[in-house]
Amino acid sequence: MARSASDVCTGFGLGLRREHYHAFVNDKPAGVDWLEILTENYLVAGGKPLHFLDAIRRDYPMAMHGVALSIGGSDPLNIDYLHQVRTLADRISAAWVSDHLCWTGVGGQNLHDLLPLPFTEEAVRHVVARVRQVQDVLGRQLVLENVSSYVAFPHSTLTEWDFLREVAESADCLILLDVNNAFVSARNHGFDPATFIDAMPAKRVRQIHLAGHFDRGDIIIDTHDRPIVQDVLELYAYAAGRLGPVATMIERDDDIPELGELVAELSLVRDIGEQVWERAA
Amino acid sequence: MNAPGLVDLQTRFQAFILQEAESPPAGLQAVGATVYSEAYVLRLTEALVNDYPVLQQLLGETGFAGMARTYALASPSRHFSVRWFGQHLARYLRTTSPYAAEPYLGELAAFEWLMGEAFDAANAPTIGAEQLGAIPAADWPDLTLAFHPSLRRLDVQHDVLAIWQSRGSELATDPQGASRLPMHVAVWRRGLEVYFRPLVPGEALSLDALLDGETFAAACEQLAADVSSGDDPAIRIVGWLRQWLADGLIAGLR
Repeated sequence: MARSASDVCTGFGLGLRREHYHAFVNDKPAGVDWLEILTENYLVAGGKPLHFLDAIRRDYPMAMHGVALSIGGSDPLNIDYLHQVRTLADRISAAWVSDHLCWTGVGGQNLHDLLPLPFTEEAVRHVVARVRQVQDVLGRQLVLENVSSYVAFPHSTLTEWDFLREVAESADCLILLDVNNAFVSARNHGFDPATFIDAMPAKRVRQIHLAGHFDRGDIIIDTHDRPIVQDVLELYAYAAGRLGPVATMIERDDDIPELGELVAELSLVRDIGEQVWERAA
Repeated sequence: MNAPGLVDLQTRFQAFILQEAESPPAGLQAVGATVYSEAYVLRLTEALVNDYPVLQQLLGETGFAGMARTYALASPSRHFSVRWFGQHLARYLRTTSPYAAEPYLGELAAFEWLMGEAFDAANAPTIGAEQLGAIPAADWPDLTLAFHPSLRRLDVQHDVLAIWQSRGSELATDPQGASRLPMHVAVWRRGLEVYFRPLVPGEALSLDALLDGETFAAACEQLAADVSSGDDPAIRIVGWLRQWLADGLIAGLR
């Protein structure tokens, strides 16, 4: 299969969603440098998902983003799943493989949610050992994302940013900084999101996520169903200044608009990032 | 307060999300914890809507949401992908009140699930009817067929095809009234599109035998034993085989 796209994801990307398969195949919109795919959507045997994945991969570099790893879970890691992830990564020459610093269920059950961990040294040791195991099976560094959370565990002894940094440095893995999640958790738990950004080891931040959220008043919920709010764009500008040119993308998972609308939003994000980096240069 | 271990904490938090426990683990804010339990039901309901759009139409949005909620709490996913969460829904509807009293619901769910299975089943090349001429006469009795990996079979007591085809509009008939003789259905994918059609009883019997790996001769014997029609079973099966080849059901002749 002839590919015109490289294997490298830099610049500004979008999440590939099935609503936009035909638009990516037929229109190949300019202004989208790379795509992030949802790993589990393509862990199937055949048919449309893999057909469009292969067709779109010819024109766009891709990174993989999973939701099922449960790196903080207390069940054993699902090795069969990891082998499937590796096979998919090889199939599309994925630029990297990411998942979340969370757990998804216990006792063999999967709640299909990104559940928060207590920020303790016990949890750090637990996660670090599992990240090493995952990296061995995948044959590459794992990229871990900070999640939005709605509860805080009273016995946490670390801040969330110290927890993430300790895991990344001890396990020698990389970070997907979700700027919207940092903002959401900051509001829900009453900290300054800039403190979170400041604590990130710039060398390890492989990717940045942006998305829209719903402000319920008492709590902010990470919904990915609307454009990025101004406060998060400003926090992104701050992160771009601290971290330099990191591959950045927008996640949209609900109320998915025409592709053109997301491409326009991405262009806004690109302007912010490029202005920050030009000023710094 | 002693710090709870990770397993204990996760077990208790999960029990709260699945509404098996009334309160979240000690020290967790109820408002925040409830975001997770509400999101759980909503997210999994959305997955079921995706897999069972016509069932949702039959039950109505509210009725479907109520059903999805009880299913999500009774049958939590055990698979890494939410793609498989709905796999036990047909059985749930067949065995759980009040749905069990209306058996066409479980049958429709089984049909919609098989369409989903055909949708992303493995790819395979198929062969055309011209291959039949290449089979020496002496090889026919021991002939076996390789089918396309997406092919699924279903036997139902209600006309789920009519119910499914009436999607998007008022149902033409009372689904209960659509009851008829057992109906035999094949579901498969050709290229990227999913197809289905009803099978006559003899065709279903022969297809099932050949799907089980029986030889052409054995399938002829089964058909002869089952059907009182005077036609030669071999001629009838070859006729269906031509149709299966045209439908794109056959990946190889062995």
